[in-house]
Amino acid sequence: MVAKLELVSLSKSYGKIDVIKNLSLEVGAGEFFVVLGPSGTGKSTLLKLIVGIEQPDEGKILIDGKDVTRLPPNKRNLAMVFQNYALYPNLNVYQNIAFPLKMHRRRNIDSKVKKVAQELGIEEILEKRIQQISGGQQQRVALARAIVRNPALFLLDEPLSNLDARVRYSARSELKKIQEELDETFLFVTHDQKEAEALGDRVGVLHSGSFEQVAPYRELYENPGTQWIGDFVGDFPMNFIKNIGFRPEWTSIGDSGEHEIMVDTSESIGGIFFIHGTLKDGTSLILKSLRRYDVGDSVRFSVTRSRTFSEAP
Amino acid sequence: MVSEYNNPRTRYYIYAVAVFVSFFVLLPIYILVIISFAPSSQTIDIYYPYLIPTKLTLVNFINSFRGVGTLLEAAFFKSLETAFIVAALAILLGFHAAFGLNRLPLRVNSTLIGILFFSTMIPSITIAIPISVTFLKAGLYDTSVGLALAQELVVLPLTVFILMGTLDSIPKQLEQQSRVDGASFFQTLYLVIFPLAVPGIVSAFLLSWLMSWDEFTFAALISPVHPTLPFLIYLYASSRGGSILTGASFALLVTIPVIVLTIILSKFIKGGYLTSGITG
Amino acid sequence: MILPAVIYVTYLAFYPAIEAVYGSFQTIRGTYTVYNYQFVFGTFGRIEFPALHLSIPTPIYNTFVITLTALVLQFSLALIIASLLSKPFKGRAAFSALFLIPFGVATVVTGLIFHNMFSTYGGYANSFLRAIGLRPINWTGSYWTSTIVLILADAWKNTPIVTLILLAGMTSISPDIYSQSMVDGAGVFQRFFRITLPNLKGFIVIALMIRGISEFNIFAMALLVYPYQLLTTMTYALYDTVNAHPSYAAGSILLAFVLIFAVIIMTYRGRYRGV
Repeated sequence: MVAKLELVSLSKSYGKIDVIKNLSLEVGAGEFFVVLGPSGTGKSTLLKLIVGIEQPDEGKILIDGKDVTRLPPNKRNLAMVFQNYALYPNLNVYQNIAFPLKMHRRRNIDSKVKKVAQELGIEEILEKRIQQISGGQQQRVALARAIVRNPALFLLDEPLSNLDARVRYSARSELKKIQEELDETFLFVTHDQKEAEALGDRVGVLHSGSFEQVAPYRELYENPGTQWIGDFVGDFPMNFIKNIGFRPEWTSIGDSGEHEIMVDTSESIGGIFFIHGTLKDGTSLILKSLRRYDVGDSVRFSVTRSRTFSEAP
Repeated sequence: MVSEYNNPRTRYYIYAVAVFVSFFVLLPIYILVIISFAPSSQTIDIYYPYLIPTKLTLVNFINSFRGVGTLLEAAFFKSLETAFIVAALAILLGFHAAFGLNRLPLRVNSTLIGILFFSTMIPSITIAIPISVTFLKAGLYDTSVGLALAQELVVLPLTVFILMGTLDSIPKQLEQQSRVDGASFFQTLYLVIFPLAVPGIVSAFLLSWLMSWDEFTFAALISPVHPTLPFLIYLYASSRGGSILTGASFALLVTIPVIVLTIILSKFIKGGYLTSGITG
Repeated sequence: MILPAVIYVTYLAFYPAIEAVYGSFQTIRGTYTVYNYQFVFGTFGRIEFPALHLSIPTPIYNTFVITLTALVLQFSLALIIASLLSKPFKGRAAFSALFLIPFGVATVVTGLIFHNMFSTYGGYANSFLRAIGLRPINWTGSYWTSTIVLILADAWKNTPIVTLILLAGMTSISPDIYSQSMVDGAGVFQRFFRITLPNLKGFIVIALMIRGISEFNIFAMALLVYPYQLLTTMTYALYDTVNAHPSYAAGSILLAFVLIFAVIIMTYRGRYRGV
């Protein structure tokens, strides 16, 4: 049961603080949508509004065209995976997965639980207690619990951030595969750009309560809509000389270059160097380079590609 | 830890104090035991009783039960019944109140906590008399249920504080997850929250139970005709002569299981429970 | 969800309390009077303080003396035991179970035991005094010895609960602070007065509140081992289901004292928090 999600002019404030400000969004059926944002930008509040744990002050939430704004969470037919998975510690793996089916009074609970367990490769641990299984397994159990009742919409709140680095990469690609196989609508919240890049069909960048830009990650990187996006998206912030923005790799270093910087530091990432330097007027820049420079060296470069922003930095 | 504990002199102090305190803790228990088990000619029937009796006997126990066994039995079951009603009611009312209090805005919540806390300050004896007069009219006077309803006042605020601490330690996400999984509010409360709160519920139940088992003031004023154990023991202890032996035997019978229970469950009885609700 | 509990305590605690205060100003025929109070104050004598031009009704005086001495004794003992329990030593687990024993002994049982320990005839305290060659004492015969017996019995039963609260406070102090202060050259006593006590303040206030109110309400123990009148035992002595009004008056006086005590403690707590 695949559904689209529409948020219409949502607002929510706590006391005097406006956490969500006039936020609108449409997520298409079967889309993997990523909400990206630094902490404190209202990501978790947005999720709580969609789930129904919190009520918006203004605006509407529609799932498949149906207004669910005032419905309690258990009437919205959506599934959620929390950052810490929120597995019921007093139930075993099997009972955890069966819980939503029981609550919805579904039939054939046993066969449904076993089927989803097999799909996710956790049929061996069904009788184990939650405390006995690894972080990666916990994540799968949480996912199984979400999938099993075939909801209209999946919400995932940083579900990969509790895994250690190695498991995280495999879990990430697996998650993408699962979503494609299910062909369901996923709304995935994260502060990790790599996850946004790897997973999202489209990425919405949340900034002080509303979306600064909604686009595929590549587009955000190559063609940021605002300076803030340019600054936020990417391993390194975009360089700015006045209102002209360019990425560290959109440059060529050579004696004939039009600009000159003094090198402050250089860091090496996988054999490629990123040179942190300062222009004469004090502007800090980062350049990508194939060779190393020492502190105090002067480097000339030209900008090969850029994007001009209307407002001044 | 960097400390002075390696210093042997400090260690001597620690052990000296520990032994001293243990001695005084155990001394009254020892005296209760010898009054119960030594012949009265070595305990209460002489001016200077033997500090260490030379003879032990079961005569006191046998006499006590022969004389008033049924009275003791009635009091025992009355105490038991009352304590169970008190503890069960404390959990029933306390669990819901604590859940609600944890979720209310701070200002409302502190007012309500204030009311609960304030109610514990009202002296039992002050309200026991009006309550007993009311209960006389309502037919609750001298009943287990009536007594339990009164004792609940002493127990309930403490139960609420303990359970607030327990419920606070359960991650909110589990509750939210359960709602998303389709559970209604009350299903969440009873199927998810309640099982997770079991450790706190057990300790609240036991404390309520113990407090009721020990409660004297309401028992004396609301149920004097068919007394509970504490009041029965008082009736024997306050009269001189042979019946003090009966009182002591009863007291020992009542005390031993509770001491054992207290020691076994000592990990549940923590000062933090008392303070968590108040300091918060 | 909170309402049942709140309605419960309101109906069974506040309403009877108001009833007691109201009833204390009434005669049995329902007319208003202050006679109940005169009767209460007149029945059990007064203690005179000629130097202060003051005379205090005996039960009130006794209640004060008992409350203050009992609190001082229990807090001193509890501080010692709690600081012991906050240190690691071999056998601590056994000791921490053992010191809790009185907590599980019913108040009335404690009273019974102490009644026997200190009775003139068949009393163990005198047996012990004689064994070490001292003269026996008529414990229940004089005011001060009776007081000592009562506060000892009360301390035996109730020190564990004070200890638990203070211990919770002590374990909440980070060991790093102690290590730091030792490095900074603070000795045992400086550490106690400069670190332990100030950090315990909040916990002491809570324990003082809990215990102080219970001391004002000390009842079963007093009935058993204390031959003089306290506010509680006086209320009980005046209790009569036919004419409850004098006991209402006694109960109201007790209520007033407890509330004044609570307000003083709360004020102190508020001030301490504000600093």
